[in-house]
Amino acid sequence: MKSQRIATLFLALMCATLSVIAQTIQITPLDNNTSRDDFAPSVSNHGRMIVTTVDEDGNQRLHVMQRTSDGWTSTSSMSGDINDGEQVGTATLTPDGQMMIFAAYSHDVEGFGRTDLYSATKQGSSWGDVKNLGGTVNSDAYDSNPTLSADGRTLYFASDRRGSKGGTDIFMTQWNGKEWSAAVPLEGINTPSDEMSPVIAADGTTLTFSSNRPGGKGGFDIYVAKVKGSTASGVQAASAPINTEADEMFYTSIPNSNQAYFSRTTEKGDFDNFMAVPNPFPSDPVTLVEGTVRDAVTKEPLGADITVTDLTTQKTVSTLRSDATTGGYFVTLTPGRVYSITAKKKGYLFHSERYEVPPDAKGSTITKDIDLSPISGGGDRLLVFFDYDKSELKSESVPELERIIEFLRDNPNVRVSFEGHTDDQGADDYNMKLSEKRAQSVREYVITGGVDSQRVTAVGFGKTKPLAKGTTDDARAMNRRVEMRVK
Amino acid sequence: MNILLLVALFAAVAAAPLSAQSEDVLRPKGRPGSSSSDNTTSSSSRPITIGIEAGLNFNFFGQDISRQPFVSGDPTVTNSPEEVLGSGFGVSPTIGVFVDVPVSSSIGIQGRVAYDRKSYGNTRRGVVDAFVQQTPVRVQPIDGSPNLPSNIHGFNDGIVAMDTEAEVSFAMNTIAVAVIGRFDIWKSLYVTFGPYAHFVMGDATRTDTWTWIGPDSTFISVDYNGVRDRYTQISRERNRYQNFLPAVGDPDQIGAYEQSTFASARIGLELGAGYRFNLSRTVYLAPNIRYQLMLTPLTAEFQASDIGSATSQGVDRMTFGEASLNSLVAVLQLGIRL
Repeated sequence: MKSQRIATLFLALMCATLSVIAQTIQITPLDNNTSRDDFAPSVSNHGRMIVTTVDEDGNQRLHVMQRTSDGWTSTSSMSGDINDGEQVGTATLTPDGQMMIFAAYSHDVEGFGRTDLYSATKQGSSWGDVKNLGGTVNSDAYDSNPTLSADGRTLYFASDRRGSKGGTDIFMTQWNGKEWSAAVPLEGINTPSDEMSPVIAADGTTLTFSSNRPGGKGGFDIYVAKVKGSTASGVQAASAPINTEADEMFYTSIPNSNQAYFSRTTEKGDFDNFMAVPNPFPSDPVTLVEGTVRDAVTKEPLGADITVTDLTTQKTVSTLRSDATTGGYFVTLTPGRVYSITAKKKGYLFHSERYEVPPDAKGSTITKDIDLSPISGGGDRLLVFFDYDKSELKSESVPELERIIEFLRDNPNVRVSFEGHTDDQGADDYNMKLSEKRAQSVREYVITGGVDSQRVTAVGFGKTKPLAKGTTDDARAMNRRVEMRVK
Repeated sequence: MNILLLVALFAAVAAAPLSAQSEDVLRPKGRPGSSSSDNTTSSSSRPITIGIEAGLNFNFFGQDISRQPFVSGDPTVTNSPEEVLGSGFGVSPTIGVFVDVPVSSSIGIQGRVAYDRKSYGNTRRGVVDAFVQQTPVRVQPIDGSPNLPSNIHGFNDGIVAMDTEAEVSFAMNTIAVAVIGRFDIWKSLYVTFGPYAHFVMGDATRTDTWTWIGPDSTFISVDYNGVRDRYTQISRERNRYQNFLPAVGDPDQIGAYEQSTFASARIGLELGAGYRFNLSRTVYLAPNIRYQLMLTPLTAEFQASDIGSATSQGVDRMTFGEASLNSLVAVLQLGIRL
């Protein structure tokens, strides 16, 4: 009996020890840190690329490093107009890695005073088209440390502008599709001390930041909070070994991963980038959708504009662009929601696809390639779906139909035919008329939208051309449709 | 007073960059304990700039004139075309090269050498006394009659008031040298302040023109060179290195006390502002506006008399104060960062 107790106690101790070992956070400096400042690691392209800020003899510059099978490459200065300023750094990238927001002091592109926030787009292997984010975001004070939400629509940053609680505070602004809203302080997070280096995780709610507020371990420490709208709550400090007597900043979690990167001052006083494993502040798992946009005929990769719309809310949740060289794109979506993914490129028939992210897809990565058909080669496009025995347009079809109108406006010489279809239920004559009604519904919507009636025709095929074989509900739903064919 | 204003302006604008010179994207207040002097930067991060500049001088000339009339109460003294000598304005070109050597992230020293032409001119209409039928310059009725037309009323016996227009133009070529401090105050906007000097090359060219306006039926019968004819305008141009009163007679013959030699070298202070428009990372265009306040007068005070001249004011003694010539300069710089 006694030996059994001893064995039980021993096992318990072993389990506790193993648990502690399993939770030990390993802090590792990145191999490519320089002898000067290296800070603000911004991770993109599914954790395969990091843009960081490097001090080049007194001038901060944006550098990039790639993850290869041999580890991280050494950093190299980003080419293009992006680094044309006295101090340039602290970048945040869109998930697709095609657009960047960064801070610059005295950039060649004029600003509103002191350090401002700018955007730049990827142009081949360099970065250009640098633009100041404008007066709704920037002030004549210090505006820096931007971080962009995964949908590219909410931007957080640090500023010491008038109205701050003290030192630097964290502000936020939102993109409405045309412009950034007037920046406002993020409630519930700012103090009379300095709050800096906000980083919003891929889940859109987990925000890490740094502050030198009283009660920390020394200098700037890492804190984590949850944000909803313009309010943050549940602020808690990271413990050792994340926070130390040194300055810790720019804590960045890799989505669906146990890794995080952050910056810390070394004994020499400069900042270096570090990796933390496991990440004690992981963001909620998200669904990552990635793929390649290609020419449907030649299979050449294409740089196309991609729009992701939440079909339930009818709101655009993400606008991105596939890489012109690789055709690759990358977007973060919420499981359990239905989206429309549309890809457009001049000279090609746009691609639009209804896509439902399974509720159980949290933490997974889904591959979805898109082929675009050249207009010159004809081609067809699946458009809208209908309820059983109905020819009325569903509200979720509206974004798709608006894209048709836009496509026809952009291509005034193109004529199209709308082809209606039904499922296999009912008589042939009835289905033929129903399919014609469906096609006619789409045609009338497009004409109402300003398209010349001579350019669009409608025809019904009844149940003669099913898209999906079988008699299941899913197959029948797929077949109740209207397609667009370029003449 | 002007110098005090210039220095005060400089102090105000130069103070601005000191608070922001160490800012970077991570540190809104700069590195702790850092200043512009302890930033360790290589020459490549703050490159030296060389370039060319060209533009225009807007020159402002001025000198005080006081008169002691020969006849007390002579009305021509208060409406004298000789006031043409009291002020002037002109536009002239400047072209040069410069080098900008940064000493911190927001402060640099600019050295400039330029060909700098300074010119001005002025026109003044007024009345002068004319001695009837006297030499060397005189008026007479157009019919040759010794009697004046009835519409001409003499102020004094043998002296009449005639309408004239006086015109003077002046130009000199200089080599300008400046060593100027540059202070970035906001983004690409900077101010400059420092000493400026120019050295005159060759003689200054001055042209004096007197145009006879009336009364009708009168004319100038002898020009400046003593040639008799019926003139409505007489003019002379002299390349002289002196400031003088043109009405005295032949400027080459005037006495030393009636002229003042131009300063061959002048120094001053310059306050300016510029804005860099970057054409690329290494090339920029920078419009500059500058004010050059010269501390060395163009000429010293001197006195002259025009009593012996036919077209004169009948002034026994004129006193010309120190002549000033300051410039507002607009130039466009093309800079290349090495």
